[in-house]
Order: sequence, then C-alpha cells, then structure tokens
Amino acid sequence: MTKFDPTALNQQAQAEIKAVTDASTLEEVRVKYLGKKGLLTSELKKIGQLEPGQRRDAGQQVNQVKASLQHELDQRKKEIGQLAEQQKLANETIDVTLPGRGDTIGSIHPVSRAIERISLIFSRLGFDIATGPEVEDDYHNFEALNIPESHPARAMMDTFYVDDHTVLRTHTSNVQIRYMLANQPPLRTIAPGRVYRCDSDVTHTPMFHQVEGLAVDTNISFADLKGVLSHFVREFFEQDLQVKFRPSYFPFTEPSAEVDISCVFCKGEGCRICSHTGWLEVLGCGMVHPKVLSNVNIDPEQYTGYAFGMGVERLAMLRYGVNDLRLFFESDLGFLRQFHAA
Amino acid sequence: MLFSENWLREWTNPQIISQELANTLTMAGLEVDSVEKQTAEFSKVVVGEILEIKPHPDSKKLSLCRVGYSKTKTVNVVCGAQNIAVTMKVPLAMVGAKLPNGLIIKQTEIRGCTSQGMLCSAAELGLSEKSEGIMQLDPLAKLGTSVATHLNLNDNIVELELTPNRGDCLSIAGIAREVAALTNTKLKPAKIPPVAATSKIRIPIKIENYQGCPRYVGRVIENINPQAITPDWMKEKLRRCGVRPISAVVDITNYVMLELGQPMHAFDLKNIDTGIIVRNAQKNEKLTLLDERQLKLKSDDLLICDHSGPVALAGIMGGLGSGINDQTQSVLLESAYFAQSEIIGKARRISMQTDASYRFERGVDPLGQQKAVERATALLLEICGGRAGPVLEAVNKKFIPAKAPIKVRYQRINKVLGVDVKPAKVTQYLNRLGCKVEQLKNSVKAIPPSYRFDLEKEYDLVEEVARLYGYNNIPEAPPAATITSTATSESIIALNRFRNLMIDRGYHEAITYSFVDPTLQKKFHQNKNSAEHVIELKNPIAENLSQMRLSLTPGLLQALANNYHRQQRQIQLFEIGNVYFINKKQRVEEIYLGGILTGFRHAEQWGTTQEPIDFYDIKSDIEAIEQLAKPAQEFSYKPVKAEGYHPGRSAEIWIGDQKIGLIGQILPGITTALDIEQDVYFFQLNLSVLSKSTIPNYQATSKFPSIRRDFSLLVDRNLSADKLLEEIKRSASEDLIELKLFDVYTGKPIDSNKKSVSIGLTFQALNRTLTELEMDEACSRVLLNLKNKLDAQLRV
Repeated sequence: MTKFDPTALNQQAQAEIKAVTDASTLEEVRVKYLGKKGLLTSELKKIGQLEPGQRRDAGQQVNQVKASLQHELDQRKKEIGQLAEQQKLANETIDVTLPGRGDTIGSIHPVSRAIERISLIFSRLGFDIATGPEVEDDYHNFEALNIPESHPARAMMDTFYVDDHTVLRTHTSNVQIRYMLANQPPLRTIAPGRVYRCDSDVTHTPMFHQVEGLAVDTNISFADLKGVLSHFVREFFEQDLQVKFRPSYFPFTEPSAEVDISCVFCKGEGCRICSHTGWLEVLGCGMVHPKVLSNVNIDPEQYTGYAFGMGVERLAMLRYGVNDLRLFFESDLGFLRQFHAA
Repeated sequence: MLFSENWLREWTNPQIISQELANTLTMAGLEVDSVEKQTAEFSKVVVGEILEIKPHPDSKKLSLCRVGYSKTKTVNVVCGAQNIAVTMKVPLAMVGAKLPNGLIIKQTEIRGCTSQGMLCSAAELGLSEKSEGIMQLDPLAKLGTSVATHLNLNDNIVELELTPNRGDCLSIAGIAREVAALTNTKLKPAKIPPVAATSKIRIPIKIENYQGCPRYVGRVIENINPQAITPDWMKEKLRRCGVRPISAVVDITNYVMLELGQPMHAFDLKNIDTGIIVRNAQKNEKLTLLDERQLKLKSDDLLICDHSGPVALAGIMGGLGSGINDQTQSVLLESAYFAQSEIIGKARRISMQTDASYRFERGVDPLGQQKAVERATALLLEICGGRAGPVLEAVNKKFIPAKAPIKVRYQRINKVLGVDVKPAKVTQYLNRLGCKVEQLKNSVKAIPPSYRFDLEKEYDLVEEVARLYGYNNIPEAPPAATITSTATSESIIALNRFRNLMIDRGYHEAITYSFVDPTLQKKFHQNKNSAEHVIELKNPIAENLSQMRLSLTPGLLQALANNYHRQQRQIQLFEIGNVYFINKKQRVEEIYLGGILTGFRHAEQWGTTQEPIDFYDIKSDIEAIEQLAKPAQEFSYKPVKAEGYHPGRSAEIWIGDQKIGLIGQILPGITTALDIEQDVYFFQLNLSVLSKSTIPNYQATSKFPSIRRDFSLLVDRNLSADKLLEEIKRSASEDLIELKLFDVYTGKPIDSNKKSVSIGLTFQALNRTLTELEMDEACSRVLLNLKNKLDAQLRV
C-alpha cells in the first residue's frame, strides 16, 4: 500500500501551480491533481483503506488540500488572465505624441472679431445692432447729416461716386438717419459695416469698417457720452485707460469731440505706436446736431442724443498688434490663421 | 496751417511753455500736428559783408574774400561758392564758431592762402535741406549781429490741423485771439494806423455782383522800387508759415494774409485798363491764370475785370497778364470780401486750391478789408518806397453778413452738457471769445464777432461754452439706459452663427473689397455685364477696382490665387458680405456667404492618403449650413451650366421656387489662366433668405425596434439620385424613417449605360413591432414602383 500523504502532494502541487504561466498548462495541472483520475482523487480513494479511526481526519485533510489547491488554481488563473491582459495591452501601445488625424478649424477675420467684441459690449448696454445700405444716396450720406453739397467737409471725404447723387457711403452715419426715420426715441443702436473712401496708401485702404453708435432720449447729455465711451474703451482693451475728449468738428454733431486714449502699448510713456505722444486717437463723437434731429422729425428741444463713430481696423490694429492696415484685405493665410475665433 | 510761435507771441504771450501752448490749442479743438524746432544749432556766426573778391592764385574754383563784420574789422576767407558778390551780406562763421554738423571753424591755410573763417549756406546753418550757395542776408542786416538774432531763431514751427469750421484761425491774428481767450491772456494786436495818402491816384471800382462780392477795397501805390528786397525778418516769418518768399510786393501781400487772414492780390497798374469791375463771366470768356493755365469761364464764375476783360478769378487766383513783375512801378492792391458761397467748391472743381480760396471758402472777416490794405500799404512804403493813393472802396452793406443776437439758455447748456455752468462763467467765456454779451435771468444774449462764421445758433454757443469750460472738466456719467425691449425672434440666425460654422469646418474668413476687377467679374457674369445690371464707380481708385461685385466669386478667387502663388496648396476661405446689382433699375444689396476651396479632402496627415477635394466635399459644407438654417423646405440642386463654372459640375441651389445660391467647380480654363493647377470649388448662399429659420417642433419617437433592408439597383446611368430617392419616398409606407444611399458603382460587370446604386431603407412604426411579412410587402411595393417608373432592376 502506498503511503497516504496529502500534505506532500499539496506541496508538490502548489509548486507546480506557481510555475505555470499559461491557462492550458494550468488546466493540465488541475486535471493532474483534481481530475477524476487525479493524484488527489486517488488519495481520496485511499481513505477507505485506512483504519476507521483515521478516516475522518484523513478525509478532512484531503478535503482541505483539495480546497486549498482549488483556491490556488483559481488565484493563479486570475493572475495568468491579468498577465495576459497586461501583455495584450502592452503590445497595443501607441505613440501618443503623433499628431491627431482629421480636420483643423479655421479662423475669424480680425475685423469680424473686433466687431463681435464691440457689438457684445454695446448690446450689454442696451444698444441694438442696425445695418444700412453701402451704395447710398447723397441725402442719407450727406445732406441729412448737415453736409450740404458745398460743404468743405465733403472735400475731405474722398467720395466714390456711382452717379451724381449716389455714392459709396463714406461712413456708417447714414444708418443713423435711416434708423431715426424708422424708429421713435428712445433709441440706442450701433451700426457696424463697410465704408469707402477714394484713398489708397500705406495708411489708407479704399474700403474699411466703421461702427456707428447713436443714442437719442429726453435726457442724454455730453456727460453720458463721455461715460459710455470711456466704459467702452476700457472694456474693449481690458485696461484702466486714461480717456481724453477734445473738441473737434463734424457737421452732424455739436459739440463734437475726438477721443484719445492713453497708449495701450506704452501705457502713456510714449512709444513708436503713439508717435511718442502717449496718446492714441480712437474715436470721433459728439451730441447729435439739432439740425440732424429736425431732418428726421425728432424735436431737438425735447430730445437730445449722442453719436459716435469708430474705425474698426484702427481698433483691431491696436488690440491685436497688427502693424499694417493693408494686411486686413490681402487675405493672406499666414495672416488670417493667427486669429482664432473667440 | 503752419505758424511761427515767435510771431504768435508778438500778438499774445501767455506765460506757458511751447508744449503747454500746443496742448492748450489741441484741447480747444485746434489740433497741433507737430512742433518743429527752429533752433540756432550754431554759435559765433555773425552778419558779414563781402568787401572785396579776388581770385585764388592757385585754384580756379576758389576765391579770396575780404569780409567785414564791423565798421572797421575784417577777415580774409577762402570761399568756393559761385553766388558771392561784393556788398553782399552773408553769414560769417568766425574762428571758433561751431556749426550744426559739429564742425569747429579754425584758421587754416587753403592752397597757400589763409582763411580766417567760413561763409555759410543755409544748409550749413541747418536752416534748409539743400544748399543753394552762400546764404544771402538782406542789405539792412547789421554787421556783426549774431545770425541767430538777425533771423529771430529759437522759434518753433507749429502745424495746426484746422477743422473746416474754423476759418477764423487761418491767421496769426486769429490763432492769437483764440489763444488769448483760452488762456485768458491779453491780446496785443499789431498797431495798424491808417496811412495817409501822399498821391491822388485813384481808379474806378465797380461791383456788379454784390452778392458774390459785397466789398472791394483797392489802393494804388505809385513809384515803388521794383528791385526792393524783402527783409530777412519777413522772409523768415513767411518761410516758417510755409510760404515761399518770391518778391517784395508778393511777399507783403502774403505776409498780410498770414498775419490778418485777409487774402490780398497785387496788380500791375499799367496792365489794368481804366478801372476794376467785379462781375460774372460772360459767354466764351477765357482767362489765363498766374500758373499759366487757361480757363474757359462759366457764367457762375466771379471775375475781377478791367475794361478789356478778366484779370483775375475772384478769390482764387490772379491772371497772368495783370500780375506784377520786377519792372512794376505802380501797384493796385486788392483786398476784397468774397462771400463763402461764391468760392466754395469752385477751387475744387477746377482742382486749384490756393491759400486765398482756402480762406474765402471757410470765411474771411467781412470787416477786415480796410485794415489789411492799410497794413499792406505801410509795409510797401517801408520796403519798396513809393507814394500811396487814397483807399478806394466799393461796398454794399446789405450783403455784408450781420450777426444777430443769440439767446443761450442756461437750462439748455445743462441739458446738452450734463453739467451746470454758472451764468457768470458763461458770460465770461463768451466775452473772451469776442462776443458782445448781455446777461439775462435765465439766459444770455450774445452777438458773436464778425469773423466767427461758425457761430449762428444757440447750439453753436453751447459748444463754445463747453470748449472753454474744458471737455475734460465735464463729468463722466456712468452708463445708464432707459430699458427698451426690442423684439427678438427665435427664428433669426445671427450672421455670427454662420461664420462660426464655417470656421469650425476649417474655413478661414477673408474680407475682400466690394469693388472688383471687371475683367475677372466678366468671366462669371458676362450676361450681366452692362450698366443695366452692374454698379460701376465713376471715380474708381484703379481700373481693377471699378465694378461693385455681383457675386463673391471674383474676390474670393483672387484671394485664393494670391495664396496659391504664395505656395499654399490647401486653401479654404469664406467671406460674408454684400453683393450689389441693379434689378429693374433699383439698386439692390444682398448679403451672401461664399466659400472657396482647393487642395485635399483632409490636410496632409500620417496614416492616410491624400485625396483631392471634389464637388461632394464642398456640398457637405452646404448641407451643414442647411442643417443649421433648417429652412421650411429642403435645398434642391439643379444642374446648371453657369458662366465661369464647369458645365458638368455646377448646380443652382433652390429652396422651393426661390434660387438661393450656386455651387460648382470654377471652370478649369479660368483657374489655369490664374496659374492655379488644382481644381477649385466655390459656393455661395443668400444669407438674407437663410437667416430665417424654423422653430423646432417635437415629434414622438418610437420605442419599437427598427428594421433595415438593403438593395442594390441597376438604373440608367444618367438617373439623378434625387429622382431615385424621391420615387422611393413616394411609394414607401409612412414607417420608412430613414433612407440611405450608400454606394454608387459603375464599371464591369455592369452595362456601360447603367449604374448600380445601393440603398438602405429603415422602417420603424410608432406603435408596434413591424413583422417580416409587412416588411416584405413594403419593400416589394417600393421595388415594383421603381421598376415601373424608373426601370430599376434589383441586382442579385
């Protein structure tokens, strides 16, 4: 009779299980010990040959070994599974630094970007956004704005003519007139758009953009104009700028003013951009001329208003550091790509 | 306008430095553009007189000059200039003098001759850009005086950018008035006493058009010295005010204009036949102007004539035949008041802006003519000698603009400016500006001075109060607004949304000019290239920017070409902007979104092959726009042979019966002519139509399973996909929820006039699971209908 020794068998089996590295060998090991004809199974059979007093203990012993082996086998199986999974994942490693595939996004024109920003600031202040025609009659572009035929200001405008009484609008101020004719005060609106002057050199392009602003109400004063525009430039440039209003002349406003801001580059110290003056001219504005109000049937005794106009390219140049006006209209991808959408 | 600060300070001298003066002017609306220093950057340069000139023994080019610099003292100077002469007064740099270029003058030997100084040109003294020989000082210059003192150096040339309403500031007197008012400083006007007549010479003056010329003042000065030289002090003042010295008489008239703002003219009396008549031009009259241009005159041209014909174009320029020259012995001075309306626009029309027309256009003081004549007379007598006749004047006071009193309400000042200005201050400000002011209880009554053409109404004076109060002293009111609710419709899609869609799909936004090259435009719009359809500019900046664009095509194509020529091969641009055309004689502007692209489906990247883009890539962008815009009806595409486009690869885009755009490949002939060797695709859509969308309206979705059946059909090769799909939709049950066309195949083994189209039909019912039997029936119905209508065969 062979010796009954499940402990030795246990040790032997444990060692074998530990040595196994793949699932099929592990199964072989299971069959070898726990299968129907397995070593432990045959050990169990030996119990019958034992003294009756020993059988109970021996039975327990074998069952313990069996349970322990089964546990080890399960454990090992899990480990091997994990190892295999890890191995599989390791084999699937990619270079995460390679560039992604697919399409890239485009870019927004800096003039559009600036107009969006200007519009956002003013819409939060309760301003509407209006538009008007670019091919305009001289009534809306000039006469209604208090610029009669013979006015010297017309000579300063370098107007493009379509015919004797039709022009490409020289400013977005025509929208003022159209808006006031179509709406009753109180009014608050801005009008961004293309404007045209017959002028082309390093600092002038025959087409550029303006944003016109207009507010008419019973209690609007120059102090309100100052407040709104100071707020605007500070918000637009996100700087606590100094703002200076100085008298100027536009036929359609009185009093009229030019607005200077402390240079956004040198903070007023003086640099090349501000011609070493520390100031930048950014806007023209004023109180709507009573004659203009009368022209659109608004009573200038009851109502007052302010209007302003700003060159979008000028603001975009300062905001985005563009140093040549002409770049805006050359559509060069090298330039355009630099302006991501906001 | 340029002016000399020293000259201004003779008129009013506020105790502020130049920079502050400039700032004061700017902050009052007289913008200072620049301040250019006129400093003596030299020392020990004095007035000398050439007493003797001898040739240099050893050089043909050099001369030996003996130069006196006091009654008794002289030095010997070797000089190489050609324009020297005995008795000429010159700037003499003494031994030890320092010149602006750093040169220190020493006693030297030049080819064996001693030179004890140097005669200087204006350039060598830093007073002019280029050298025109030795500087000639006027004969009255005092020997030994420092040239810096003689020329009144250490001055500033100030450049003012004047707005057109401030014609009154086009003179030293005018600027001085303004400075005095702004700084509250005393004005010290030049003393201009009347010059008594010493001759009886007079000539008749007659005005026929008093409206155009309410006042004409003349005076004859006889027996002047035609060779008189303008003194340096005057020359320097003229130069610093930007006026080139010409001859004594002309210089004097210019000087008076600069000083008082009154344009003047001098005629040679011997060329004036009998007398002066101010009248409008008659038929076929001509006049040759001082600049030798011959003008054909129009009946609204105001002229100065003598009894033989026109001698000057009033207020603009004198005639060639009547002008003065170096032989002139008797001068007729003209100092007239021409009405603004008479001159405005005229100089511009004949493109001849003169100092005179510039001033008359902006308004000249109607009361200043006599004073100007007295001033000019005094200067003429001083510099050229002669005898002055009596002052001659023709005038009709009815036409002299009179200033009416203006009421300015304190409450109005407050309403417009948003600040309370004390009545006493209002009075003070207006007084300082030369108004006659009467202070009332709630207002002031002010009569503005004659030279302020811009002050007519209450609002004009409110602005003046604001200016003197100081714009910067007006408070900033925090932004506030009456809340007005403007209706916003949910169905409006903002342009920005379209813009962002394009950007997100890889397009770069371009802004191109609204005017385009007619030659390029013609390639796409030959049919519309007439004045009936296209808006043309009368005065374009260049021929290739002379037509308003009829579509976004020419501009974007040009932009694409420019980038292609800069070695870009993957180009994707879009633009949102108006197109301009004439429809039934009405000018129309419509806003379009246009896109143009060339290159590959995807930018070059690893792991994929590059495929050139085709029609369907750009079509997917349009489909994206359609998904965004969600119009009430779907887009349909009609094949079209559009001008400038590939005849087999272009389509019009329609919504119902409205054409809203175009898509296609630019005709290869056009792109190759632009040296683009890739296919270029373009589309444009009318955004004014697409900006109006529909509001979402929820439809219940099914919880039951869906079933899909795929078929491959053999159809006529020319059958369009939309017809096929349309037919399927028509015959399918309402349970068809999706219809996909997922393959198109031509080639073997399929007959060459056929193609295979694969479609997938997905069915789903709202209230139950569809049975196989139902499906079979539904599909059979579809297939039978396709067979009958389109001769479509099921491929097996």
